[in-house]
Amino acid sequence: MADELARSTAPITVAFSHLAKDIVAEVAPDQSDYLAAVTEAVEAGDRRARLLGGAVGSGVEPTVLAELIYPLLTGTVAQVLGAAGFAALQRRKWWRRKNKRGVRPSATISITAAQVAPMREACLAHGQVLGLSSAEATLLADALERALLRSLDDQ
Amino acid sequence: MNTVPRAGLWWVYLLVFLALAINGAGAAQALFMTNDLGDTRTVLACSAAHGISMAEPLIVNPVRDGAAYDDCSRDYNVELGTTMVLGAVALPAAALLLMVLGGLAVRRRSRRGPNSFELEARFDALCVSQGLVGRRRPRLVLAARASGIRQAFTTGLPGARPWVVVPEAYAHVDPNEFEIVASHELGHVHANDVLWASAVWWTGWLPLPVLLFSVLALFEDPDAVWSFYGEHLVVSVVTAVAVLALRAALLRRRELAADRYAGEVLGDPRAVRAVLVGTTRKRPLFAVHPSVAERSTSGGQRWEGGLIVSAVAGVVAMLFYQVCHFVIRAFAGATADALVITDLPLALGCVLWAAVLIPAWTRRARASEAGWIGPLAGAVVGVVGGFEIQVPGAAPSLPVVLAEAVVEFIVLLGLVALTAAVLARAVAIRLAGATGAAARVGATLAVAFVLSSGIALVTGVLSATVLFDTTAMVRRLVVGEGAGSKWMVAGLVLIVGLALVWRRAGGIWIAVAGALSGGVAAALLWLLRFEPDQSEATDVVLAYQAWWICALAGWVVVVFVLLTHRGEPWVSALLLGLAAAVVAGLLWFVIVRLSGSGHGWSAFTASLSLPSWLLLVAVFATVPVLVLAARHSLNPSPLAWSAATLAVTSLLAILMTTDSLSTITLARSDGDYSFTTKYDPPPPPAANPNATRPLTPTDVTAAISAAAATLPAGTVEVPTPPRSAGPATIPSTCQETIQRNNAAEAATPHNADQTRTFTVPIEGIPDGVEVQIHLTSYKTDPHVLTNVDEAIHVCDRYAFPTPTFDNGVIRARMMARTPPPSPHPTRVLANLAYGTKNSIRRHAIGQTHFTTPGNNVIEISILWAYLALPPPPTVLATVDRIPNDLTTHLLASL
Repeated sequence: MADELARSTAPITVAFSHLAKDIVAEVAPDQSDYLAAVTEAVEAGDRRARLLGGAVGSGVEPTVLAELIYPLLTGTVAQVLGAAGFAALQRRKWWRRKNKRGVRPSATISITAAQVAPMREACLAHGQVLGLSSAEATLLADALERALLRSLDDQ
Repeated sequence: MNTVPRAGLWWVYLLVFLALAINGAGAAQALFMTNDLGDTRTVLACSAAHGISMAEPLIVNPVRDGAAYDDCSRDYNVELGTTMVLGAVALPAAALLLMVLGGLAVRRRSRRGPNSFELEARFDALCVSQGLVGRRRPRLVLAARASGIRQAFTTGLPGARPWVVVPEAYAHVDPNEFEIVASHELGHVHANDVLWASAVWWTGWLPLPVLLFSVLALFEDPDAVWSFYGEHLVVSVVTAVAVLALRAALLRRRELAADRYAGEVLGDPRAVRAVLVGTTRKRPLFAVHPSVAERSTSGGQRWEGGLIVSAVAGVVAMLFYQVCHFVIRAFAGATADALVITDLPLALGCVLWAAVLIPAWTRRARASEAGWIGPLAGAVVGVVGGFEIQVPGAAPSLPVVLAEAVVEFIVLLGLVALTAAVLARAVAIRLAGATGAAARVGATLAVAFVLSSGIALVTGVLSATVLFDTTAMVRRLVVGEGAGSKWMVAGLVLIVGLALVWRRAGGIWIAVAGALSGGVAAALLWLLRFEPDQSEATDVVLAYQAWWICALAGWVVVVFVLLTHRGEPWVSALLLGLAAAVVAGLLWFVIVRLSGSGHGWSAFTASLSLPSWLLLVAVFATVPVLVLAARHSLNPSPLAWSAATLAVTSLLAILMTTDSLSTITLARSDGDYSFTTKYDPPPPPAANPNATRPLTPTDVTAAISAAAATLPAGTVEVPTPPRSAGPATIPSTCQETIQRNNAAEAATPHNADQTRTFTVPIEGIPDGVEVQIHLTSYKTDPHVLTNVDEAIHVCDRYAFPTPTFDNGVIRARMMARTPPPSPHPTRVLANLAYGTKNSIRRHAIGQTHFTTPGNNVIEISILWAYLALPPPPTVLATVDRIPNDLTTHLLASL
């Protein structure tokens, strides 16, 4: 029992990319390969191509989970861990950071069991901020919760 | 899926090409000037040889000096014109090259992701449904995530199949979402948006760096750069910003058009809007996508032809006119017919304006777009602005005198532009119905000629106002602008063009009443005032006043048709007004002929054309009033309005007859004025009957001594060098001709012959002037003047090898100058020789006056030199007086 109590309060370390992979594999398994490409691109800085005058674009981006997952996790973590905790994830100085909008997929977070529920709620709220419907946000929030609980159990 | 017809954007390509060509021509002129590619010094020297000084302020009497100045500057101008043409071609070519390179770069960046057969199949179905097959079928490219491409776009190369590039993520979206985005991109393919967007991109970015490059030679002195080209650089920056902003504005509209296209193709506009709404953000000036609000609405029927496009069309058209004017004048010469160097470029610019604007406004009218304030304002601002600004890099094309009347010019040009714009709108509304090609062409030319005629009128009138400062001259010039064949053609085109789009909608009886009352009133004016022995000037003024009455009758018709119209009134109003004016003029002519008091058939054409011209002038002047009149739609009772036409026309005729309108039309005393540029040469010297007698050596010596005594103080006599054969020339025919002529003259028996040479000090010419007086009395005609003419013809341009000069040659010209008035046959030969020695440019100027009283020949030669710049006008005038005075004194003393 003491061991269980110890386990429930001890933080676990989990990588963003692991969470993203778990969530996408559960919710949209057909996008798993694409997620790998997204992860690689975001890790490298994810610079947008500048086409100057040689192209005429649509002005919209496709709505796929693999593109949305990292901004969703970033916003969720920031909301739960707070600004200090979020800043700690930014291991590089700000001027050396390529991806100014969020954390790199290889970044890890430390959470406790007590933070799982808040993470779920934050994900639900942030998902709707990103334009997801309530049902979609709930789906993702539940998937995040299960992924976090699996990580805790694995430890 | 539905098939959507293509939308033509040919006018965008035309404006883009011309904008690049205009900037290219301007930069080329700047390059030419700043690097002196045309050898200005030779032009200056040649002008000095003709006694024309190019020092500021430049006053060249076109009658006295025009031909000479034209001759001196011809080579320079041809080189300038050629350079401008090359620039006009080079910049669009450079833009095309950059478009190709940019397109290749985009393709290179679009690293391909995995294939998706499903997406390919869906894309193929979309293309086939829109007729995009074969070479027109675009290629679908899935861009790898690593490429950084996050949105779908279309890219293309001139002459190649376009690419529709979609991010790899679209393989994982709802198939409908892919179809919507792909259809949107096909909308861009359908409209060829990529090519013009790319072209406009480079149109915005290229001109400023090109202009900076062309004035690089001045960069050692930044003050000089700013002084000469500061305004040009500012204009270039402003136009670059404007072009890029316009591109963004057009692209925003094209995005909405592509959204609508996708909605029409898929048959579900609501679903399309839901996908293509994008994300919420502000809308900056250079954003190429519409705001969320714009994309969310069901509108999107935002056709081109609004304020911005109308303004751009005006600016480009007027700058195009300026460039055409420069180039045509460069090749044709400044003294060529004004029809070629001024009217033709103006017509080209105005036709371009009408050809772009009327189709755009026709589409706008078809789309039932509300609100014409923006397009009309844009058209006026564009024309006025385009006329006022200089082509970046080029000299101003407006007459220098108009700089003193800028405000008046803007106001008057604004009235003309408003008239043309209102008429363009009217024909566009008519053309929005089903019309043929003849109607479109005719109406376009009609509007173009209204604009060009008005601009020519404004520039002519204001120039006259500034130069002559008499209202009489202005009134004569207003009438005179319509007196030639130019308006005959333009007026005919105007009437035919309007007739082709006219639909009968009332006003006929008003026109009949106007024509009858105008013609009768005009004839009465003539018959009441005509006197059989009146001068030609009075004749002319009386006729013009009569034609003004005919024009005013037409103007009343215009006003009343505008007041009583149903629907769009301007075409009917102007056409019926013109018809009434012309018929009134014809009626005047018939009555005057029948009365036996008047003109012959030579006045027939004037009696038809001038009333129509003067009516157009009245329309220009009163267009704000006419616009207000057009806003009404009163009860069109034919009887009442015909009677009103009769009454008002009669009243105006009475006012004309009593000279109450003379201030704005024509006064009786206006016939005394002429606006022809004059040159009054000095009076010829008095004839001396002794001058033609055979002379003895004593006579010759005495005459030369008497003449030499009149030379300025400080004159020194120097030994006369023996007459030599002169240096070998290239071509050799020049030297051969001179040698042959000299030999023939030497072989002609003579009674007496003497030559004396003097050095005359002249302030402004460091080494003074060498003056040679040569008087020979021949026993028979020596044919000297014939020899001079031959020499001028053969030795127009020649050179002679000179080892001590750089390049081993001195170049020379022999030209005829206008001789001063003389009672005896006279020729004046101007010589110019120039070369560079030790990197210093040297010029030698000479002139020889030949006067042949009988078989005697008086030959006065002047020779002087300068290094950098020729001396000022006062010095040249002093030099020119020497041979004239010597000749006069010699003739008097014989």
